Amino acid sequence: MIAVLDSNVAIGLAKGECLEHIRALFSRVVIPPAVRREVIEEAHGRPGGRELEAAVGAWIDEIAPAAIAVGAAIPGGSTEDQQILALAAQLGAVLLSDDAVLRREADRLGISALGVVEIVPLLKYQGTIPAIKPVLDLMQARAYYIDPTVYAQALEMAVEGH
Amino acid sequence: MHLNMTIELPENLQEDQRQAAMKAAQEAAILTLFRDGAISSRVAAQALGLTYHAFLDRLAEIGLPIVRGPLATHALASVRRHVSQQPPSQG
Repeated sequence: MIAVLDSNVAIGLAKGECLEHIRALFSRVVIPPAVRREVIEEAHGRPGGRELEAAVGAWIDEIAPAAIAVGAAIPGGSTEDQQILALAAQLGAVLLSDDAVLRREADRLGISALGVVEIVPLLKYQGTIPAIKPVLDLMQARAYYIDPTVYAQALEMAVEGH
Repeated sequence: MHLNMTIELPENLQEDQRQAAMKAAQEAAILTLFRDGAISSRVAAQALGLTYHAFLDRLAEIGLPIVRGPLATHALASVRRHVSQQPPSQG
């Protein structure tokens, strides 16, 4: 199963110190150039930049713009959003994004989309991490803010309670 | 996407006060559109002139979640079935 990684999830997972763990979930993880620019080149020392830079070329592939099909315009989205979704459609991949507009559009197109509150429980299910709460709490402590209701639902789903 | 917004402010404001009010109004408008799902986080960051990292920091600062749900239970179940068919992770 291939996954297309969006900037928000890359940053969120890096803040939770579990970005590298997703390599165990997917056969291939890819990013478009926009994600490289946003996460690595504009990091200025913030979490995510160093982690993604180490991963690109090692276990994350960057797809050149010319190799990405031009997708349809997304209402409320940018050309970069369009590129990410087009790449997921092109590869038959899962979209890893917490962006509500991208997730809504992915759903409309029949593309599966997962965010950090779905990916972290998967890591627990697979046995890569022992619990999701410390990871989600670390993300939030590092300014990756999760809606309290969704946070509670994720803990409930992972049978961890409060 | 560029739309102009006009707001009425009291007279006799100093220029820095006027600029601060304009900036706050612009941010409120953009974040409202983002919160309501009318624009993506990427569009909102660009409209505010922030890097994506800085935009996420700003959301946390004002208590506006980037992760808003609902949980993608169907997608999760599908990927989980796939993961269950893989050998256990070696870490």
